[in-house]
Amino acid sequence: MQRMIKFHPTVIAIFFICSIFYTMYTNNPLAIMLSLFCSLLFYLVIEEKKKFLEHLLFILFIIIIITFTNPLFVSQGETILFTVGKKIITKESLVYGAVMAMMLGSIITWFKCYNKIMTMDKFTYLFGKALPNISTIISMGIAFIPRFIEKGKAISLAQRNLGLYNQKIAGKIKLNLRVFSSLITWALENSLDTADSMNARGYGLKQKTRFSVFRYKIEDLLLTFIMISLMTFIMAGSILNYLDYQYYPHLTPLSFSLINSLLYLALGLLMLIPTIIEVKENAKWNFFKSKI
Amino acid sequence: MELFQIKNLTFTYAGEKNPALKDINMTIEKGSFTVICGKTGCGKTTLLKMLKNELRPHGKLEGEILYNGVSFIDIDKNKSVKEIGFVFQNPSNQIVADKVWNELAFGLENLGVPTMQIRQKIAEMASFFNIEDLFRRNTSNLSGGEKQLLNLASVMVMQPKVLLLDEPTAQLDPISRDNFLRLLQKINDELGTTIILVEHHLEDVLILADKIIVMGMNNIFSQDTVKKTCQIIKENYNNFPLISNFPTSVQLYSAVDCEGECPLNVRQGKRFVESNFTNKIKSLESRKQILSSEKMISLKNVAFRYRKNDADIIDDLSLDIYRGEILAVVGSNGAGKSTLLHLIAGNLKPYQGKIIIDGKDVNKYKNNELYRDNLVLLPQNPDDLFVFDTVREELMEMKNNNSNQDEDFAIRLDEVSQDLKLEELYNKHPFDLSGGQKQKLALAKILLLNPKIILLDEPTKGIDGMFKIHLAGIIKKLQTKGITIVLVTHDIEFSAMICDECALLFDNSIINKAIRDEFFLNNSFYTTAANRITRDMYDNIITVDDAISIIRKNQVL
Repeated sequence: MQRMIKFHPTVIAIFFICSIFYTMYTNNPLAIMLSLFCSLLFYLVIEEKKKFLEHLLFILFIIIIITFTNPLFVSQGETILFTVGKKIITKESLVYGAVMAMMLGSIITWFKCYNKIMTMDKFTYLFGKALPNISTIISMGIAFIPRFIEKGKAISLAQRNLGLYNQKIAGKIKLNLRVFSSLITWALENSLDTADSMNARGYGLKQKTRFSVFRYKIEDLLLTFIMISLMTFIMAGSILNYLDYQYYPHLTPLSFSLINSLLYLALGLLMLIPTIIEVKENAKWNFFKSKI
Repeated sequence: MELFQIKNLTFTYAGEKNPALKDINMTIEKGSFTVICGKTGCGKTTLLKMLKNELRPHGKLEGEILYNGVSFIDIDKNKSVKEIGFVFQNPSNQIVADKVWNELAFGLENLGVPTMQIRQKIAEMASFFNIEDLFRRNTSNLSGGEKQLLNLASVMVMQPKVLLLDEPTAQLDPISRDNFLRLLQKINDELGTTIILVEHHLEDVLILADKIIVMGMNNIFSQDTVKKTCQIIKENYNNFPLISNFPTSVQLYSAVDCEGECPLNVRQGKRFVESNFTNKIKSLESRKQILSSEKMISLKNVAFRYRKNDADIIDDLSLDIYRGEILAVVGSNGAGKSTLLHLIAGNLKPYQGKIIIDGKDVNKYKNNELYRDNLVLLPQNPDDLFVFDTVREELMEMKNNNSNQDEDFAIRLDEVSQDLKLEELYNKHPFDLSGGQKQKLALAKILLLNPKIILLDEPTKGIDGMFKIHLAGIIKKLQTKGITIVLVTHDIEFSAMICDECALLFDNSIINKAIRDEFFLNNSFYTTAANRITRDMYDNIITVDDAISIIRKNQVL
């Protein structure tokens, strides 16, 4: 059981907004590497082993592709490594490509985690506060899609059993067109019932409230406070150019002054929060289990 | 104290000439349980919708509807939404949200109830309905019965004063239906909510009701207490086609001359038969059933599952079906009845065993051969077969099945539409037909394929007692043409009416297959109400008609 999923949707939203935003904002290679590392670590904790490995391979693949294509198009930088035909490959453009690739990989991974944690009901809850009707429509859509697919399968099966359609492409196209048109008629016909059911329960009356199963707990408040503090510190440091980094014409050396080190530490801490929570929860469970 | 009072109500749909409801006068008492029944298309749903402002169809309305003594038409909107709840027939169509909790909250959100109160009301109703374990599930994963419970609960959270239900159990299997009806009774008894239920299948319903409104065509035929209504039915027995919708015990009571109160369920029916009739003649002459010995469909050790790691749906099932017989397969929900039909129809492939159709392995039929002049499947939902805008086009389409020569086809089309009385519907849209008419059109479509084998999946779902008898006639007639018919169904009464053999599907396999009499006379649950009522007195009674003839013979004059 995942622990992070049980936090209030706003807390989860704040975390992902901070992480994804900062990953896109910064160009500091160490910050981006941290982000990639933390996102992968979190994904490892919440996803099945097999799916994680597939994802990891995919990320490595795009990192390699982008790292080596960037120098082919960009020939800035002072340190020439070698030439391919007439193209000059520089160390700077190679590193820049790698960092950008890692940024992309890390954002993809964060979004994968987001999809696991921010379930649709949480999303509509967040939306619903601002736009209640939109969130009703989204919720209806999600409820309807599985029915639509199921009905499509049933119609297609019933039609095929009539033996009217040959197994060549023409027959298949004819079959699918008919299934589709019948499906649309069915959907329209049935939506009348749904509309009746909504009206009967007062949809469209003025004074709408919004119910949710989510409650704001003390740990939600605590976590929000920690995240906002860390993020404020990191952003302040970044705006004051502490984490600035130049790739061209030559790479600036990474600085590890006190403030810089603290900023890296804060960033790592912020991005590790969900992993720490999950691991702690697992450990707690294992501990309880060993007691039994 | 009256909750509703309807005075001289006449209603005509916009654009129609004849009124859908005419001179309706009725009162509904507070806290009562009223059942409205009538033929398909008699206006019972229209009458029910008159009582809910949000659902009242467009048209001309004369007369008065009073709610708590005040005119109902201009009642406050919030009050109408909150105090009058409505549950529809189709369990899936009325669900709005993706999560169960979201659905439960829907009405209260619209009414602007504060979140804390919503939480409490939902919790309360979820416990009352015992659906707490569904609370965080997706609505799309619920079964039909669970969906209908959810629909009822999401109306009940608004704490309505009156609950209107439009054939809410028509799409449910018998167990879910029982469960649903029991909850209605609980709501009526424990919460005091007034209930008005439109229903065509009255078995198990009459016993709950205080009052029954029987509708004729667009007017009220009778409105009285249950016992008195039964008396009225008895007086009109020969001129009352609606009788087939009533419980077996009521049918027995009305068919014979006798005194006393009308029995409403099996227990009362038993007492009624025992105290009014002798059992000097113990059995009816039994009909000899002669089955062909030629195997038409043969399944040998068939096993099937949907995915490798799932449990078996069908496990080591062997079954022989003979040429020209009608076989009914009964069994509970999820026993694999539909799966069995789809295996026979070649839609699913078994991972073990063989299926032989008319002497040839089902896998050896290529290019639609299996479906040409051979085997047809009527799906559970007849809608699935319809892809055109008119009934005529639906039927003409079947010409394209290669073996239908032009002249032959015209003759067959005439024959089929006459048999099923479809001509008058030719210009209608298939989706505008009633449940029974849809079933007939679907049947006509597959009959035009000139089949030797017909597979029927729940053919009586959502249709009323009168049409069931009609359908039984149609199926019996097909049998005389030498067609082999296999139906899977929950409907024991219907199976008993038509089948030659009956098989029970249980634990993923056929547990028991026997000829009709043997099957129904030996079972105590999977048998008809007529058999349960008479089994202690007489020997071989299965259908209502059997029961009526035996008690007539044993009448003390």
